[in-house]
Parts: sequence; structure tokens; C-alpha cells
Amino acid sequence: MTDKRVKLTIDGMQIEVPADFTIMQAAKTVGIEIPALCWHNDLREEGNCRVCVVEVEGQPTYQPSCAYKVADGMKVKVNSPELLKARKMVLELILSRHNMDCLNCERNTHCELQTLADRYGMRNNRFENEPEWRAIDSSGVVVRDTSKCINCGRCIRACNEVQTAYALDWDGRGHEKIASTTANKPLADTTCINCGQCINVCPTGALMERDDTAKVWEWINDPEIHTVVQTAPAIRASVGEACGLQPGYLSAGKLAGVLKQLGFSKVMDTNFTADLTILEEGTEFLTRVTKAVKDGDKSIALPLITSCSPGWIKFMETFEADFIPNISSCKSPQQMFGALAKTYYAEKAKIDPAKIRVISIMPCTAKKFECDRPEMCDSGHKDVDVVLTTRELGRMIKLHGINFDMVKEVKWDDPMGISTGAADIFANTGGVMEAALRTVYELVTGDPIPTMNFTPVRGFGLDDHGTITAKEAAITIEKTAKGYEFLKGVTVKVAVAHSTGAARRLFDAMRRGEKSFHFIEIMGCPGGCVGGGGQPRPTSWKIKTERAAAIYKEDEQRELRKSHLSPAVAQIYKEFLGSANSHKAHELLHTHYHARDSVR
Amino acid sequence: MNYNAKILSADKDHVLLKNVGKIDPMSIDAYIKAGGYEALKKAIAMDPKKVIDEVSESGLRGRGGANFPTGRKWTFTAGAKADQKYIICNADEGEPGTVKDRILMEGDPHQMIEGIVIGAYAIGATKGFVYIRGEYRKSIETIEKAIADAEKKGFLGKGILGSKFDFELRVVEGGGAYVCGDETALIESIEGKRGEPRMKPPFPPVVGLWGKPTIVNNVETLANVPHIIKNGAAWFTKKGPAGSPGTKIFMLVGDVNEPGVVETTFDHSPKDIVEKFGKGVDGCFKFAQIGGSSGNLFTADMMQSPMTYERMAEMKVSYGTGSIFVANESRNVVEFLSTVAEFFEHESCGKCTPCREGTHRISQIMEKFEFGEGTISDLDLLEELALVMKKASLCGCGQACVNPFLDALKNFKGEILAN
Amino acid sequence: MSFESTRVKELLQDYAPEKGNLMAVLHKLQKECGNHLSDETLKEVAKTTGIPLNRLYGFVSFYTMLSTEPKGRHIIRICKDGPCNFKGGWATAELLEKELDIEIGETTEDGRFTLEETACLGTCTAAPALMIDDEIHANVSPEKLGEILKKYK
Repeated sequence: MTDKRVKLTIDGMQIEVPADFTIMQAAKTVGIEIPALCWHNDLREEGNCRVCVVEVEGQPTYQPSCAYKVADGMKVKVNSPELLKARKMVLELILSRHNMDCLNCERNTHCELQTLADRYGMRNNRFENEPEWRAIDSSGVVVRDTSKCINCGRCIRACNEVQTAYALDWDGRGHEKIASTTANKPLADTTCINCGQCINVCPTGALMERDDTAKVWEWINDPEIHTVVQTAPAIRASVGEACGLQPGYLSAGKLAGVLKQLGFSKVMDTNFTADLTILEEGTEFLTRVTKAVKDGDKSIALPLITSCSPGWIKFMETFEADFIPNISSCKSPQQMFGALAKTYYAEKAKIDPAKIRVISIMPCTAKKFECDRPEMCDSGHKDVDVVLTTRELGRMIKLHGINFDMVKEVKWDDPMGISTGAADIFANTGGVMEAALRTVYELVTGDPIPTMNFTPVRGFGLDDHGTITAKEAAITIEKTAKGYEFLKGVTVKVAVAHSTGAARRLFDAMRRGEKSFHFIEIMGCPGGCVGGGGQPRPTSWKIKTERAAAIYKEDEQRELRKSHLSPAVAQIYKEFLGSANSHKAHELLHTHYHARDSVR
Repeated sequence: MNYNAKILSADKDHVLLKNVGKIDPMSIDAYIKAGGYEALKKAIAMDPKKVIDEVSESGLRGRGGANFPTGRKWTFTAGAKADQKYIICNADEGEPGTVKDRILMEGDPHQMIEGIVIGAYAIGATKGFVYIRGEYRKSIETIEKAIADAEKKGFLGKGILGSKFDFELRVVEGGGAYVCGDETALIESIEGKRGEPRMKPPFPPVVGLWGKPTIVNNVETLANVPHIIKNGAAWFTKKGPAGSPGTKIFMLVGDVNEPGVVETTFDHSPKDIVEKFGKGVDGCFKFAQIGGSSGNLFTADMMQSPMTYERMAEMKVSYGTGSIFVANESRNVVEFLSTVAEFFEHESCGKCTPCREGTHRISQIMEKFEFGEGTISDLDLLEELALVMKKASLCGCGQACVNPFLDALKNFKGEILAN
Repeated sequence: MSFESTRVKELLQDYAPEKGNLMAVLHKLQKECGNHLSDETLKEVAKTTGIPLNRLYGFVSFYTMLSTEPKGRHIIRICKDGPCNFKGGWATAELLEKELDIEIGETTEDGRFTLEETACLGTCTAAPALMIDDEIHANVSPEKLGEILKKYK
């Protein structure tokens, strides 16, 4: 960021902008939207699509406005007849290689390429249509269709530079080149962590999540089947957006309402088990800390690292497997919910668990992989049957022609529908940490946490280059409650990182001995779950900020904002689980991990 | 020694080719005996800025095809503040019709190395690379040996010739990609990545190899440097016509009676060179492609123009690498262009849309004409496509590869249509 | 040729990113192993150097001289560009195809030769030229072809 400003001319208009702006940013300030396909707000620019080219006086060739910086006195042409013709030709070339069956494509009517083709009035193509019919890879959660790929490279940048999962790369050279996977293998056989960030940034239908709505419709329409739907914390601040409303549209009540309207038998809330997770994980944390600090047990693995993000878990199993002992054994709220739905709820409601189908609505694509993990059947059945992304839910609502804005607000169903504000903020990076601190601080000190909004762990932490950096905070324990006297004077160090790339950097620093912590929250996706791979498209840091702000607002309007105050959580411990980390809790709510080959 | 190339110009006129075929390229002693490394000794005793000044005053311009003034390029990097700077010798000679760099490397390796070390000293680079295309196995071995020998003699390594200047030089191999002749693609390749060019700005002299200030110079350009330092800038400027100083190695290929390599000055026209050194055209002259596959097509008229920068600029062409590829009356323009089109389709790196898709489509259009199915609207489309590629491609490869097609459309449209 | 993890590790000892020698190392590995880089080899390279496997495949797939497909013991690369074309490069290519009973891009049944096209070999004043393994042969005439091929078992 710079305070220095420069004056330049764009299509004859004199404007003044910060000196570090690109021509594209400068044009935006006067309402000119230069088209772009390979440029993405959250990624390093590559200037390869050439759709954004402009003419800069003095330069013999066109320049990519997405990367070319402004300068004092610069004269730029954006919409000259030659440039419009050139851009049209570039589009023509891209379209000549594109699958033109838009009517049968998931991205029909909301595709970046369609938008540009429409804007540039494309009516015919002088080149023969030769889509790259090489592969439809539906081996995993992320489905690839090369015939719709425009070689923009956004997915490759997201996978390698943001997430560092190293599953995608270019294959071949020149016209033969396509965006592909490691050794052109099915994606499921690579180090893909299913985070779906590639889907989030793809401008066309080349990348999509596996669509599981057909199964869900079948179950909803089957009178023998009892469908229980659970919704992630992030959904209440993004389903509106998925229905065409503005980013940050918040409505938990309408979300519950629309799910009822769609025909789910029971509409309950993952937030409930998010609160439960805090109790389970908080207890786990304090147990470890007690053994390590009070008893001096050197075998105890600290820091404790959160485990609710399945993209992060698969990443950890693949690339950071030496930290497996540090990962919390707690399942994610989604999986805890599934296990309890087919035991606790089934018992209470007197329904045969074999007839229950648990469907979760998640901002996440990795959750589809998580629910399929073979160990996730502690209830005696598959704990969570199917996961739908925010986008898939949006499609279900669209199918029924429901105007989301007009849906009547209803309450979540009991007994797994009550939650606190601490559960809400799981959707944001830093949210799990904050929720945990609200409970753990009180347990350890006997006092409520002085600030409910623990801002040191909030925010995206982007540096000047747009790289995500981890957030760190330290709390020195002064007052202690009974049983925690050994923590007096101890400075508890915590860290929060989002995107697996930032996680990798944090762990590398820890291995080098540069940093150490007691408790770490990792969210696999940039921004946390609000930036999840299943969220509405397009996405940007601005949009994620809106979603996150809505979540914080939801938390602030709640009467109860601490997990340990949730009456539903108290009830389930009393009636069913006994106590946190009890034997039954371990059976149903905890899991284990295994290392995966990092070179494949 | 057989360099698979005949030297057609006279010994007395040679500067760069003086040692080729006359001394044992594998012997550093032979090079020293012939007066080698004197320039380095002289340069090390000068202020680095004075070395740059000498090269700037000489008027030396790049010999790789882009013709950028060498001294000016060096100034950018010399002035950049960084903890590390690099110099890279671009020996990825891939332009069809071009053999000069291979001959210089295999015939007189130390001349080039001396130039690199002087350049490194001038700009403040302590590390350098010679990027040699993978197919030039003999060049790779020759340069590697020459570097080892130079190290033993103290012309490379720590404290060169007893000074405080350290400089380490290594060979890096290419893998069969013409596009790696582009300086930023070459840099990417050294960094262990796919050889896809970068956007400019930023320019390598400021942000180059591993983000550090980097000078990339062609083999022939660097081979000139020891002579300029040894004999002075004035000596260089006096060679050839004003404004286009120095000698250039030209290559005569195709339909000439005596194909081979010629070192001469820029006041010669391509016609001069063909007749004086190549014993004339084999058959009747039809056209010539000057400067490689991305070079311009010269008509008989244009062949008569001296290859000075002035004349080239007036005609809006370039002599490129100096390759003079002659085609006689039996040569079919469509077939000729088809070969060129196939070359670029194979070599396009695929990064940017205009070149990746455009080279393929040009190939398709030429194939149509090969089968006699091409139409006037195909040619209109070709022209429109070529003009867009020229302005909108990301790097020089995409921008320049359309030159022969645009030139052919100017002068041979009838023949193409008649095919 | 079978893959030997120890040999691969040996050749990789010389690798260092600051030497820019990934290509050189891969060339050496390729030579030792059926003129190609197998999945096993590339995995070993990934494990030893820390370069992610996807980036290695991306790198190899870009360069003409690197291959993940097994080839013959000797690779004949024939130039198909302008100057060689003028001097009968294509005729020589057709002759090779006939002589070896394969098409360009294929390998002979006995695994002796793989025939490929290549871009300009920088031998244009002595066209037509072809390259067999590391050696460039110039002024290749149909008559000379037989003699040249004999050298390569």
C-alpha cells in the first residue's frame, strides 16, 4: 500500500490513483471493467489469457492490464476499435477450443466465459471447434472436464501456491498443453486434499464438485426414509448468496425454513455439535496441558491442533504426518453429529437408525471425502450419508423456484438444533480458537474471558504480496481456578492459520525450532470455512470479508455465546454421553488418523 | 576440426572467427598464446563503470536477434542494488538457419568465456550460467572443459587474476525447447521450471534469475566483448558503416551454391554476401528468409539493401540472427510457410492464448492451402490472426513468429491462393 | 533397464537448485534407464530433492528431450525445418521409416531405434542433419544412412 498517487489518462479520461495500482484497478475507479479470465483477485497474476490487454502509449505491443502498473503521465487506451477487435479474436480462439454444450453444463448462466462471450457479442466462430476431449475425471470429490478448460491456470496457482497440495500442474507444451494432475492420474490417486479451491477459482465448468443431490432427492421423496439435515455454521451466511442475494446475506431462520420446505424430515444444526466439539476438545487440551505442565510428562504431544477441517486433515496426513500425535482426536462437528444422530437422536425419537439418512450442508468439498472415510461409522451405520455443498443446496432451492428472501423463518428442530455464538464463529478463520478460548479461559481462571471478541486471532493476515500469514497470540494466566494452580504465570501461546499453504509454512517454522505453541487452529481453506471449496462463486477476499462479518454479527446478536452454556450440550452429557472425553464420548466422537504417501 | 560448417569469409577479415579452425578449442594454452585473456587482464584493472562505458561507446548491439544496445543493458544491472547479480550467456540457439553460436562455442570457447567474465565484472555479478540447448552435446562438453581449464588458470573462481573479483560460471543444459531462447523462459528453465516466459515488466536486468538483477546476452554478443576491451571502442566503431559497427557472423543456407558461415560488416547486403561468399544462388532467386524462422521474407529488391540498423528500420525488418535462407524458383511458398507454421506450432510454449491457439490455427490454414483448399477468406483470417498475435502475444516468440506470414501476404498472396 | 533406487540417489547427489542442473540430472537419469524417466525414478527424484512430483511431471512434459515413455536404445532425431527440408530432410526421414519399418514417433520391434522429429539442430549450412543419441550427423545423404546406422547397436 502506498500513499503516493499518480495521474494518468484512460481513454481520454484523466484520473488519479495510488501509484501501485495496475491499469485494471485504475480503470475500475472510473467504472470501466476490463475483461479478465486468468486474473483472479486472490491469486498471483500471470497475464496469459491476453483478454485484458490494453494499449499503453510508447509500448510496441499490447500490455496485460491485470499486471501492468500505472505511472505518472501514462496514456492508456482500453476500448479502441483495434483493442476490441483483438480481444474478440482472443475470445474466438478460446471458444474455438471450448465445449459449446452450455445448456448441459452446471455453469450455464453463471459462467465467466459465457459472460465475456455475451459482452463481446460473439455470434460465430471462424475456427473449427476442437474441444480438448481428453478426460472427464470423476474419480474423486473434484470432477475435472478438460473440454471446458481454457488454460487460464487459476486452478494450478490455487493448488500449488495457495494450498501447496501439489496435485495439479500443466501437462505438455503448446497446443497440446492442458491443466492436468500429477502424471495425468485420476485426481483421487494424487495428493489432492479435496479442498475445492481449484473449483472456487475456475472460470468455467471445467472443475466442479461431485453432485450428490440426486440421492438426496430420492431420500426426501421416500416415505420410508427419515432425512435429517445438518447445516454448517457458514451456511447461514452464504446460502442467500447462493440464491442470488448479496454476499453476507444472513438468515439462520430462513435456512432452516427452506430446508423444511424442501422436505427434509428433521432440520437440525451442526452448530450444536460445534459447541460439543469445544467441550470435547477443550477437555482434551486441558488434560494434555495438565499432564505436560503439572506432571512433567514429556511424552505428551503439544501443541494440540484442531481437527475439524477435513482438507487440513488429509493435508496433514500427507505432508505433516509427523504431527499426527498432536492432532486432536475429536471428530469434526459434522461427523460428531452423524454419529449422534444415528444413536442419541434415533433412540430419543424411536426411529430405526437404518432408516435415517444424515445429510449435511457444508461450505466444504472435503467433507464429501470425510463422510466417506471408512472409519466414520461408529454409530454402526455410515454416520453421515451424504454431504452437499452450499452450491448444491442453492441448486435444490433454484429447482423448486423458491425465493429465498421470502422464506418464513423457523427454528431448528430439537434435540440437536440449539447452539451458541461460539459455534457460529467456527465459520471464520480464528473462530474455533476464539470459541475454545471462551470456554477454556473460564475453566482455567474461573473468570469469563475479558473480551468476547478476541481480535488477535481474527482477520485474514494477508501480507503486502497477498500471502496468508499465521496469526499468533499469547495469554499469560494470572488468576487460576481450583485445580489449575500449576498454570499460574504460564504464558499460553496460540496460533491460527488458514489455507494449507499457510499451515505448511507455520509447521516448517515449528520444525526449524523458530516457533512453538500450545494450541493451534488450522482451517484448510483461505479465509476459513467462509472461503470453503463448496461456497458460492465467484469468490474474493472482499466477498469472504462480507461473509465473515455476517457471521460475527450473528454471534454478537446471540444471548448465549459460550459453548459450555449451551443447554443442549448439557442435556446430551446428562442423558447420553456422561462427561466430556468419557468412554462413550470416545467411542462416538473421537477418531484416529493415518499417514499417507506424500509423493504420488 | 569439423564444425559441420564451412567458413567462407577470409581469415584477414575475421575477428570472432579468427581462432576457429586455427587453434585447438580444447586447449586454453592455445587460446592464451593467440592473445587470449589479455582483455580480461585489462578489464580487471579498470573501474567496472569504465568497462561498461567502453562497451557502450563501441555501439555493440545484441547479436541474438533483438539488437538491444549491450552497454545500456549492462548499465541497468550495474546500477541495481542487490546482494546477488547474475550474468547468463544465452546459448539456446534454436532459430532455424542459425549455426553461429555453436561454431563459436565449439571452435573458440574461451573467447565467449572471457566475454562473460568481463561482463560479470562490469555489472557486479559473482555468478553466471551458460545456458546451452540440450541438443548441442559437443558444445556442452567443450564449454564445461573450458570452464574447468579457466578455473585452473585463475580466470574464474575466487580472486580472479589476483583481484578481489570472484566469479563462478556453470553450464546449464536445455531440454529441447526453442522458446527457452527467450530470456525470461530461459531464466525459468534454470530455476527448474517449465520454460514459459514471464511478463515484462519487470525486466531481467532488474528482476531476473531468482528475482535478482540478471543480464542475459547472446554468445556472439559476449564474444565481441574481449575484442572491444582489448582494442578499444573506437576500433570497433570504425569497423563497418557508421551506426552499425562491428562484424557479424552471417549464415548462408538453402539454395546457395556454397552454404556456409561468413563474418563480415553490416555495409553488406544479403545479395552481396550470397554472391561474394556463397558463389551465388543455386537457380533463380525467388525470396529469402533473413534471421531465422521468425525472420522477414526478403524480396529481390530488399536483398540489395545493406543490413545496417538504419536501413533495416526503414524497411521495418530485422536481420535477426543473421541467417540468410535463400529459396529459388522451384520452392513453393505454401510448402515453405507450412514448414515454418509446423515449427512454431511445435515450439509454442502454450502459455498465452494468441500463440498457443494461433500457431495451431496458422498451421491448419497452411495445410488447407497445401491441399489446394484454401480460400481468400482463409487468408484474411490468417492476416487478422497474425496481426493480433503480433500485438497481443506475451513474448517475442508469439509476436515475431507471424512475420514470415505477414510478409508472404504482402508479396506472395497470388501464389498462395493459386496453390 | 531396471530401476535402481541407489543409482538414482547417486546421480542425484550432484543436484542443487542453485546449480540450475535439474535438467542435466534428469538427462543422466534418462540415459541410464531405457531412455525415459519412469514413475519410480521420478518419485525417487521427488523424495530426494523435495521437488513435488506434480511439478516434476509438469517439467518433464514440457521439454522435447525428456520423456516418461520408454524409448529404444538409440534415438534418431531428424530435423524437419526449412534448410534441412530444402536439402532432402524429408526424403531421408521417409527412407528411415522404410528402412526401420516404423513411423516417426515409433520404436523398432527389437528396441534398437526410436525415430523422432526434432527442431533445428544448428547444422543448417551442412543440411540435412540428424542426431542419433548425442551425436549430430551432417550432410546426411540416403547413401550415407546405412553406414551411419551401423554404428549404433
